[in-house]
This record gives sequence, structure tokens and C-alpha cells, in this order.
Amino acid sequence: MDLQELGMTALRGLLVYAFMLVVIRVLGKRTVGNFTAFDLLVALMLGEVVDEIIYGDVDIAQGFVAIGVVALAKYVTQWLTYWDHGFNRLFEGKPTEIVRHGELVREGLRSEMMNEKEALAALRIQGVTDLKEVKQALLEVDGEVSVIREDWAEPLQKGDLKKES
Amino acid sequence: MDLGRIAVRALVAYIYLLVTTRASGKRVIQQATPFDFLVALILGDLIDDCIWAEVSVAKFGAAVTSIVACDLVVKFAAMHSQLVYRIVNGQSRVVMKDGVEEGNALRHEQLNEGDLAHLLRHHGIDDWKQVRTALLEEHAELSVVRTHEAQAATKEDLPRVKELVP
Repeated sequence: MDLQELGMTALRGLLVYAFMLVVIRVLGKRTVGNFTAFDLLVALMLGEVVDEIIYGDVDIAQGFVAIGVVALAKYVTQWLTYWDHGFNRLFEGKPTEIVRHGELVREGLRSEMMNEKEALAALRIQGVTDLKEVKQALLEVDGEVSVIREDWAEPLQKGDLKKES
Repeated sequence: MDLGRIAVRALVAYIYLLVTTRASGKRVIQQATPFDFLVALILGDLIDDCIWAEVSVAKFGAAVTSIVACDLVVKFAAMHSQLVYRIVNGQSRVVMKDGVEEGNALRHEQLNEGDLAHLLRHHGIDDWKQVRTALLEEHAELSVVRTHEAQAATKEDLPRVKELVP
């Protein structure tokens, strides 16, 4: 095996690592997975182009252009989403109500292709054992269910024990 | 290429990735920063060319070792220098104070009010007055400190409960 080629591979690995670090820092905390399904997909895209670069199948300038364009497109999308004007809805979608005042919202479940079993499982993960406890449950844009409880079902808070004056 | 060689290559690549990721620490993806996650994806992307014999095992080894070594050096430097840590990971930022969002901090994170509402709902909060401070941490999760009144009652409140329930 050609030692020089191995050395070049290692060097290209180093350059890709450094370039990716810069890209991620510029794109910010939004980039990876936490906010929407598309954020995760962009991370996968960025992770998927690097093998040809590191192994030298494409030259490093071509590789960095490809990464740069994907990153730039993501950056622009993030600002458009931030400023909204309808872009928020277009790029992120809206949360879907799946429970309202203790009752499952059928249309919401249907539009998300979520069946009753899945909805109840998602609620159990949030510690809900009785639907009546739930004031509102939403399927958020990141694919997780958030639960707002009815006032009576909230855990006791220090404020509830305050002396009445 | 025959099937046996594909199997052997897959196994060798698997073992090599297992060894190198074990060497680079035990933080799981959940606690990792966005960049840690991307590094994991990069490592995962290097493996297929090796399995299909498009590159030699030695070249795969050089590529993986290079990425993991960079990662170790950066993590080591970040552990010993606050400055490096901030450059690599960014910093946690206060995005909400006393029930009011910090517009500048949110803009810096490219989060709008709707995104903040979404993150707070994951904490079961729809009444923002319950929040004393909220921070967006380096690993991109929101941590919330509630006001004293909105904190869960604890054993220290027991005397008061006994007062109320004779």
C-alpha cells in the first residue's frame, strides 16, 4: 500500500473535519435534529458527501463547494423561517393538536396518520395515565408529543401553598 | 467480489469503528453537541466504500483514524481551555428572563417566538410567567428554571401542608 496515499487520506480527513466544524458553528444550534425532521435530513446530507472527499474520489475544492452550497441553502432557509411571512409554515409545518380537553382529536390524528394506540403510547411516555389530565397535547414539528395538563392535574407547586393574606 | 470477502470487510470495518468510537469517549448522541452528531455521521459514511472494496481497508483505517484523532485533539483542547471550548461548542444563551423572551438572544439562535413556545411546551409550560430563566444549552436543548412559586412542592413545604390539612 502506498504510504503517501494513506497520508493524503489522513490529511483530507483533517481538512474535512475542520471545514465541518466551521460549517456547524456558523449554522448554529438549530442545525442538527432537534427542531424539525428536515434539520436531521440536512445533517445526514452533510455527513453523506464526505466519503468521496476523504478518499479522494472528488477533489477537495469540489467537495467543499457541495458542502458549502447545502450549508448556505440551510442558512437561508433558517432565516426565512425565522422571519416567517408564511415560510415558517412552508419549511417547518405546524404542530397538530391530538388531544383537547381530555378527548382525542380525530382529524388531527388522521392528518398525521397516527392511530389511537400510538397517540396513547406517546402520552404515556409523557407520564399521562388518564386522558382527562390533558388540556392540550400537540404533535410538534420535531415529531414529539408535548403535553399541557389541566390545572387540577398539574403537580403541586410552592405557590399553591402560599398563606392567604 | 465474492460474498465471503464482503462479510469479512464488513466485520473488520465494524470492529475498527467500535474500537475507535470507544476510544473517543462515552458521550451518547443525546448529550452530544450538534457537531458530535455530525462526526458520528461522517464516520458512518466512511464505512460503505470499505465494505464494497472501493477503497482499501488501510485507506479506510487512515480516514477513520484521522477523523477520530482530530476529534480527540479538539475535545482535549476544549477541556483545558475555556476559549477553545467556546469556539468549538458555542455557549449556552439565556433566551428568556422573568417570563419575557430575550429577542436578541433568540435572533442569534435563529429561533422565533413560535419556536420558543414549542420548546417550552416540551417542558409542559404554556404560561410563560412560570419561567424565571430559560437557556438554550450547547447541545441545543432548552433548560428551564421556574419561578419559586411555580416550582414543584417538596418536603420542605410539609409543615405548611400540615397547617392546611389539620
